[in-house]
Amino acid sequence: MGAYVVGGAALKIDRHFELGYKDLAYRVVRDCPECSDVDYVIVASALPELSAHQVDLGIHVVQWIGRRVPALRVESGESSGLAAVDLAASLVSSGRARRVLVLGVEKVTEYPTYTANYFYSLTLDYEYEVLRGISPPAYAALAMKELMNSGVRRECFSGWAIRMHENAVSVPHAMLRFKISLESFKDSQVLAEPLTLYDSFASGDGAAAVVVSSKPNEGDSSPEIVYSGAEVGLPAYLRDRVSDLTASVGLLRRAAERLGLDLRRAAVELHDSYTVYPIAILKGLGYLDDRCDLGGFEYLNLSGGLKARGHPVGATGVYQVYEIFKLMTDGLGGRTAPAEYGLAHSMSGPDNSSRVVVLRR
Amino acid sequence: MRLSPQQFWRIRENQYRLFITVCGSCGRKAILKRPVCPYCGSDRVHHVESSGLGVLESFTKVYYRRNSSEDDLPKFIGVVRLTEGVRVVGEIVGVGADELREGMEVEAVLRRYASDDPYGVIYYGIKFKPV
Amino acid sequence: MEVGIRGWGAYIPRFRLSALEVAALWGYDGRLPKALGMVEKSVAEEDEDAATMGWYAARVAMRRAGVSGDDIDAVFFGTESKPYAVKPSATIVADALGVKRRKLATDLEFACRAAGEGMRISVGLVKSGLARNTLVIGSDTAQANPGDLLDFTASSGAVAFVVGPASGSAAVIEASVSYVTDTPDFWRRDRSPYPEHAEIFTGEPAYFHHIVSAAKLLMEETGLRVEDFDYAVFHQPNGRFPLQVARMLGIPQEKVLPGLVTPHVGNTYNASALLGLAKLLEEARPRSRVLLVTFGSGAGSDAFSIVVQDSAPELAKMGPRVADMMNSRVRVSYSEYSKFRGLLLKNVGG
Repeated sequence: MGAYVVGGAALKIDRHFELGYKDLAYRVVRDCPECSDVDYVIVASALPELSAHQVDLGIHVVQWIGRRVPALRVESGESSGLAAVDLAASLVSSGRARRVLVLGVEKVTEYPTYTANYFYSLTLDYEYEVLRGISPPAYAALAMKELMNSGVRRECFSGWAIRMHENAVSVPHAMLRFKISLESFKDSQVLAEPLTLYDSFASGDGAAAVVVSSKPNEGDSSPEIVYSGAEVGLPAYLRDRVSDLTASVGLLRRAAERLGLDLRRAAVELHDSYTVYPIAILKGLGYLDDRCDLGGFEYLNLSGGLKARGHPVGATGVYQVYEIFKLMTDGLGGRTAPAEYGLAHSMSGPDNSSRVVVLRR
Repeated sequence: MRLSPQQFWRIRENQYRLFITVCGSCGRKAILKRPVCPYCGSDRVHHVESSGLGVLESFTKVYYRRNSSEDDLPKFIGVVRLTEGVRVVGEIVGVGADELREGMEVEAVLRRYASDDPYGVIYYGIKFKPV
Repeated sequence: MEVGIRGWGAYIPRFRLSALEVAALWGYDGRLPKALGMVEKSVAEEDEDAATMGWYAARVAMRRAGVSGDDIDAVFFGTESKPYAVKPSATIVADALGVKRRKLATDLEFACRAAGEGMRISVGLVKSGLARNTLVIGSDTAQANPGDLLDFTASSGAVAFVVGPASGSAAVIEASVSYVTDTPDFWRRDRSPYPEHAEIFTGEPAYFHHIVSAAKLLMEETGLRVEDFDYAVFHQPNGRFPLQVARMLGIPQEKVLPGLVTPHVGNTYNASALLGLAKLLEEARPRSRVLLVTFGSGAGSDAFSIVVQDSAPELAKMGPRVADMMNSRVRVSYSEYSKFRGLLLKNVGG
């Protein structure tokens, strides 16, 4: 039995001070007619215990939105969203569920930035990384230095950010819908040398929904989930190079080979928490030289990516799948991707884990 | 109380001292005393203690603010290649402005990792300083 | 059994606060530092405390002594700036050094002389056979009420010794004696962040009386005379007192200066005189006899006669030297000092 994406919705990623986890979840399903007829709910979220003192968020969300269907929460750090879609496809394919609502929801603005930074850092190993003072931008900075030492120019990373901001301008739910210039990098605050705030994802609250069904919608061409995979990497401190993102590179290569898929022709959403990571991945796949010409990619992070659309940590993967679904169907902010395949890639930490979901029209 | 005395007590050996896991199956070495080789999954491992000496391979000056982190910012996070050949990532301390260089010799030192101020427990562990 | 120092180690943080800056900030005349014999003092970083500094010194001491954690039967941690008011520092350091579980381990407090008393306790333990080797650590991040006279001197540093059988040691502890009275010259009450002192009263009846008395007792008991000592090291609360007490005992300045570290390091409290001893072990010719007299307010002194052995110069090469640590220095401002030492009142617990 197949698994099809038959609908979805997304809220603007923002500082939603007036909305909590349950409110965000309600708002997104309210705007999503396909979300009502479901027999299972999976909530993807990484931080509720930390930011909202909430355990068993799946059940509390379902009760709040007035449903009485089984629910659970999936947490796999930054890749929680794709993990939830993966699980939904399994439930549907196995016949355990007929239509699954995957609800990515996250509050990252409940506390000051330094506290949000601490929560986000906990995607790393608390005992042997966080306590030792290591943070996600520290790893990203070390990875960036490695690439720069091997000949990649600083402008490659800046160029990624500029392109993401351009892409986000037309995306209704994107957090940063404005362009930036190379000049603006000069005044960007340093997070960890040489990595700046402009190399980092936009941090906001968000909620996105997709419905995964055993049957396509009648009369239209719902994309099918034809691949859903995951790979676990070594902790960054055990690698020869922090920038060796072998889990992501290996998984993307395997997915592409399995399906005969060309990333340059597909609607692709790559995990770009920090600008260095997509560059490292595309280099690892052999697509980029040191000049980082992205011109060959037709539909690369049209959402604006984590960089500009934003990164509501555990919800991001659901945003990605929703965006690909929209690009492959009735369009996202007026843009469509008439590609055969759409691919969402997510990772947690610096490639601690990597996940890929592929849709085919 | 945010820091757990029992959590730290349980892992103190790996925080206070630099152990290396040596795999009897694949022969690779990894930092920390571990039950299983992280590379090949074998539990045929034994542990040795590092001399604590190494070379700074790379570093970054970090301004990223986290809870209660302002006391030790900016700070340096570095990649250290221990003389035993194993890499470890950690904080580099005892450094004046613009003093750090890649290739510098460094040694392990015991420092505070975190403390539950003003009344809670103090976590200690290994960092590195230039020799 | 004869008892000796089998290994030693020191630790001086690299950061230094200028005495002139302290004077300028708190409105003292710029000539005061010279009168105190102070140039600068060492400043520990924000993630350092008595335990972490003591660990470093002890690790070097164990390396020089060629002992492992299994060879240490007792750990004495002398400090008046314990990281925990209640909870031993000795256990932290012992575990971090891999010292076996079957051991004595305790923190000793007697202002600046607890580590000196730890040395005498160790002599007793080794002599009696209750311990084969002991580890004695003196370590302090000394606190001073900002703007007080102590602000010129109270500094951070550590020293450690492995005490064991004299045979093959770096230095033989020939003789030792203690002299203790109840003299309230310097104290810190419970819940008080900084020590109080009786200023001029810390001199004559306290520092000078106890050091002179202990030194004379030692010479009476051993029959040694002042001329028999090649070097003298006294507790160093500032750069002047050690030279004054030497004069009182008829010891020429040149025998004191090689072991005088305070003008460039500050008063490291429990490490103070013992840091001078460590420096002499690295620099003195074998067979030199050292008069070591500690002092702790409250008050008491321990006097030792120590003879440097042939192995000392070789052992000195096995770790960082005191002189090198004194030279490896980075100036910090009073603001950085305040941040490093946690002197600023902040909201905590966030």
